[in-house]
Amino acid sequence: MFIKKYLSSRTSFRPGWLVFGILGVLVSVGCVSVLLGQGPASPSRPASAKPEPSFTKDVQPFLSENCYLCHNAKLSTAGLNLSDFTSAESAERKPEVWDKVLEKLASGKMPPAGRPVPTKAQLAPVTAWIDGVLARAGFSQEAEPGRVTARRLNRVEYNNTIRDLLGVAARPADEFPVDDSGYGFDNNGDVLSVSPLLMEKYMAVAKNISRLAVYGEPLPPKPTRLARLLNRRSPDADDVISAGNAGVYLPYSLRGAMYGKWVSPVDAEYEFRLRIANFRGDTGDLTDEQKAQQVAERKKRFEQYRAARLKAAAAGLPPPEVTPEQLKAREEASRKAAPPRKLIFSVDGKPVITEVVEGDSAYGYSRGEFVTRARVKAGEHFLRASFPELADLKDPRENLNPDMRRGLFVDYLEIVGPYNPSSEPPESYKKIFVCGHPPGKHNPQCARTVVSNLMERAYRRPVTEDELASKLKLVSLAQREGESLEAGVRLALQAILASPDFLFRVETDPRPKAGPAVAHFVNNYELASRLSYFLWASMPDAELFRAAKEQELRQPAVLEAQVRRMLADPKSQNLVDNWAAQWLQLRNLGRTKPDPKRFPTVDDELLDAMRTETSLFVEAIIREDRSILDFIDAPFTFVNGPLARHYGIAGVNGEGFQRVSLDGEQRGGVLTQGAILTVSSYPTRTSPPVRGKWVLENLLGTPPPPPPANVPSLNESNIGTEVSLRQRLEEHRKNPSCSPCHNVMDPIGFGLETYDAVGAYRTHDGKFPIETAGTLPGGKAFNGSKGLKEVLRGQSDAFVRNVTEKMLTYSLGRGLERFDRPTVDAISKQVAANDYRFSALVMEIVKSKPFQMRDAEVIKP
Amino acid sequence: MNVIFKKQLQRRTFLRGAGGVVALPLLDAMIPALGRADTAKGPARMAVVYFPNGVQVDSWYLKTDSDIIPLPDKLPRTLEPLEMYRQDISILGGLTVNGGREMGDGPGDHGRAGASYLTGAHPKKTFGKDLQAGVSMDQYAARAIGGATRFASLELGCEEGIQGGNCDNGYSCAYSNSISWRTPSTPNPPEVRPRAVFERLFGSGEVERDPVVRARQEKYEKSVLDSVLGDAKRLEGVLGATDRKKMDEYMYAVRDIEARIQKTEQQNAQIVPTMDKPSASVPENYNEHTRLMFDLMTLAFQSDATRIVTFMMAIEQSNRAYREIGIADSHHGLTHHGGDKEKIDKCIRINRYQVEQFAYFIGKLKATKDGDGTLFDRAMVTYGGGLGKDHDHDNLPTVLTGRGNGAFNLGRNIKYPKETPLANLHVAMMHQLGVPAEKFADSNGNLPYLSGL
Repeated sequence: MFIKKYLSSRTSFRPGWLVFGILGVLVSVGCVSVLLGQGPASPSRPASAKPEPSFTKDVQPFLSENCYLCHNAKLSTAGLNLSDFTSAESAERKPEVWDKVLEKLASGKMPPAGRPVPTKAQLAPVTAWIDGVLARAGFSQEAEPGRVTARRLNRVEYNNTIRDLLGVAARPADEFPVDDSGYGFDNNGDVLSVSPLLMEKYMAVAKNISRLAVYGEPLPPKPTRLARLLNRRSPDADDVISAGNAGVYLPYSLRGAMYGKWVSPVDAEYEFRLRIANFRGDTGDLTDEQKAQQVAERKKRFEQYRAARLKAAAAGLPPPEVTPEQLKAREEASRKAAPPRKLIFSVDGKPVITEVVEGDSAYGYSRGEFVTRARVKAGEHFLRASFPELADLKDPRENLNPDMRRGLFVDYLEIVGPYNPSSEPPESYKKIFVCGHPPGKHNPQCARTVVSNLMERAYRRPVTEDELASKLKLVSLAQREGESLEAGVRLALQAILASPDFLFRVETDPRPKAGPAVAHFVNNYELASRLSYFLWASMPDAELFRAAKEQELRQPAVLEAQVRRMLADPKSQNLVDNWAAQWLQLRNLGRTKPDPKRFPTVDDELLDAMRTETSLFVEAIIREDRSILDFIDAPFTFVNGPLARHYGIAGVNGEGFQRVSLDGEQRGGVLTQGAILTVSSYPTRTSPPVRGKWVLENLLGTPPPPPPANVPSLNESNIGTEVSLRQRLEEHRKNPSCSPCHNVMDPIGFGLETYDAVGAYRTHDGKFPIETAGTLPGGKAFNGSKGLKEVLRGQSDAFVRNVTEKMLTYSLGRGLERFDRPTVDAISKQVAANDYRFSALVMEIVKSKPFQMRDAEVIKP
Repeated sequence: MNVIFKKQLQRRTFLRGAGGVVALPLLDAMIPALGRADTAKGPARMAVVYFPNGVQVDSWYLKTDSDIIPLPDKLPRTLEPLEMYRQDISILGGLTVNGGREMGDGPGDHGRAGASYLTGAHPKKTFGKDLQAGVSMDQYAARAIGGATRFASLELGCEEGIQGGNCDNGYSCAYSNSISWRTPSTPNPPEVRPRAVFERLFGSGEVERDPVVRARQEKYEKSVLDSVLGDAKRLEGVLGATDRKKMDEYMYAVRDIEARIQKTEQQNAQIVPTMDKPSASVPENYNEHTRLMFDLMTLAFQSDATRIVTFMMAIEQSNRAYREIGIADSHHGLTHHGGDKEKIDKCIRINRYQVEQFAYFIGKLKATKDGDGTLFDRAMVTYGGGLGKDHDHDNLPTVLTGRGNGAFNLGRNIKYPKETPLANLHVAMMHQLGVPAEKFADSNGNLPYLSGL
């Protein structure tokens, strides 16, 4: 087998690596002294002629100057006390401590942001001394591939794989329990487990999806109501659901929009029925005082009417009637009082209903439903019904009535269908029955062709005769029961979809007949899956399978061409939605919502707009192959009208997103994007320490250690009225057990204080003007987000390393280990040498040892 | 007795070591020894209801020096919603979960609280691979008696677990997401969607009525299970140890389904739900959400679909905001109140609001007939959390309700000596459930005053 070709011992592996043609540096990876030369901040290595560095002369003064401030006996920050090492002998006894110290120093993670960065000359003897300690202690500095645990598909991967395998529209994994994650990502093989509950779902889905794929979506005998979409009625959501109200609740929009995704079961026409509430009438475009006056008048009118009724009742007369003329006059007045507004309902951005809504003064829906039919393909669609002009309101609350209900809003959307469904066999049928015969006309050979094709694609590898036989048995079983070949294939497909070979991405060890188990290249099919799940979160496509079959994937030129092809494919959006969204913690946005009382203009739609901004921004970095330093600062972003107004960016109108250039004063880079600023805030206020922590953890890869036990919490009373948040935090920081970390975290957060807890720009917090000046420990001063970004750029080595670590972790589906450090070093260095291009990062990861190889494990006989 | 005791120890040692899949037959063999489930009284049921973030002890406990007093008419503020049931509950003080304590691992009391509550274990500080807590009491019991029902146990909750590795100072989110642990490394995440629970209990589709078609379908299901078990076995043969552990999980889950299918066939009865199918969306309103879940728990007990349920009012360290009662702050954030009166008040209001939800469950159990009594007569329910005052792991707030087939006399306020293991209560409950457990986790004896005068 071809695996054997690549099977090599550790010693013979290096030439293979060279053939591979990358990272020449790695050749000397075994040599400790060269390795450290790759550390970003580290110097070229001292020549061997130089004298051996001494602990007391070279190392101790360095530690004293750079480390003791926090890592002393009293504070022992992060459980590390370096001041106790008073002699070379005592230091030598703890190689594991120096190993960690070396990693922090060489990567630029320590000293922390803001402290003076040691010069190469200062660092050289220290790292050289540590090298010596580690070498004497037998610590290997060689990169190892590591061993990824068999990964079960997570929810995203499951949905994507089912879609690509069978071409069905369903998203069955949405019903699965939430995946656990490890090391920040939910594709970690070690923590993804299979509970009995999940197994039940796998079984049920295997049955349903196999039916759907073979027979098509079961259609109701006549068109029926498939969905009734409702949105939330208030930002607080406690009035949202009443018992028995079946439906899916969509985000709350102050501008009355309704939007969401819908999966259409089959290619067909669907009827969309849309109703709006239009209670603008006499309160339309009035000022607050005028509105209040209108409300008072309406109340007065009602009281008069009530009095007249009571009077009539007392006199034994029928209640007074509003004459048709009176009604008509009132309606006419309402119509004129509020401006006509355009209503647009679109499917995947294409308008299918365009109407003009005149003024009205009733929630009574006098307009009835807007109804239209549209032909829609099977699959996921984005629906949006809205009043686009409202996107340009100065304040979205202009659409609110005095009773806080919205003037115009989409009340519900019903979808009825399918009408005239396509009579073609479904896409999935063609994907399954590759022998090409129409339904019912298969010949006996078909079962074999069809099932082996399905298995190879589902298992993402060639299958053995035994494996094939085990599933063909099921086809025969159904046929013995008197059912068709199709029914038999369906049963086999059910078993394939429930099989561990489908549900897990399994990599097997080549098994040498004799000799020790060795690290080895994963085979071409395994590599194809590694690539596709990394870049697409799905199975390989036909082209990748072909390259795997031809055993081409390990040729550097082929690999690079494949990666470029895959990055250009729309499926690489998964890198944004899964890798970046988890790295930047975007998925937590909206989990704890900003307090609507404090931030009344922030609705679900604006939070979604923030999410979209950051997604588009990351996408631009990928698609345009920009520098990853753009994450820190970039002269552009994406906004729509409401988000632009939220930010105070002039000249952007409408609901659609557009790219805008930034002058770098207020905005630029992820740190100044609403999503990040909101996710790193409390629902009611900003927290400089939380933002500082966010930056340290997610951008620099240096999470501060957890607070020591029993620290007093911040006294929050009177903040903003009698004392500023900054003053309170400064008080807090005087506590010596808080200061080492807060001295780093808080100033970073202060640099971002000009953005409130929902990312809007501000100059004051409460009655206190914002002070953005910060001084980091060690005296480095900076001012505002611009200054902060300069500080971060000064730490670009640490940033690049951190992004590398995050992406390598995601790409491998395992946490990084000590032996991955040389790999991360080498990748970071290559990325820097390639102008920090995004594609360089992806390419270097894909070419790296842990991505290409797998460590051996002794297999029990 | 002695023999059983020894077996227990062996088994537990094994569970700690290896994930415990193979231990199943052993336990099954042990059931007849002490099985109490099918007495004339009808089977006992057990529910553990968990709430996060601790309590303000002054508004939870009665002020008394006596070990045991009858509950007065007036209960402390947090427990006020239970006043109408004061004859039906006991308040237990002084119980401790030692495993939740720091033990040199530094901060992370929430992570430890969730994972230690029912396991008694001291969870390993990690947020990646190598999760390590212990087998939880409900799962221990489920292995012993779960075979009698379609579901060995149910794990439910009202807040979806958090994704993201590090939830509490280096403790994986898995620790605070789940109180139920099938093995020391496999948490059972709670299901939060009422519709999903309903469909689990009663199926999602229509039931096939044609016996021929139905028999054929059953045959197909079995062949599919056989086929995938074959795949798993073949894989086990070629995989290394860590991968094999994943395959063990898979096989355990498949066998679990197999056993359930058999059970259904044996019972051979159509189970008819007594409530409507809940809507597909998860209610955002807390009150409505908890009620649906309590309804479903009652239904699961009533139809004897399971006898063991764990329920998390919210995940540990929950950041939920209770806007339903006008509180926009995060619950967890509020508990770090630093003495702020307003925040303390909000904490109490949240605790009290949750107790109010729980009161509904007591009412529901009392109103639901079961044999010649009510579910309340059969059930043993605890309402409590793994944190006491200020993130402490002792004096854990615990309310006991349900008569447990006559095991418990209620209406009492009991103060146990400091450091009494909560596991003692777990042993008492398991005993009543028919689980031959003389000892569990750090239990060290009987819990007095639960029954008798």
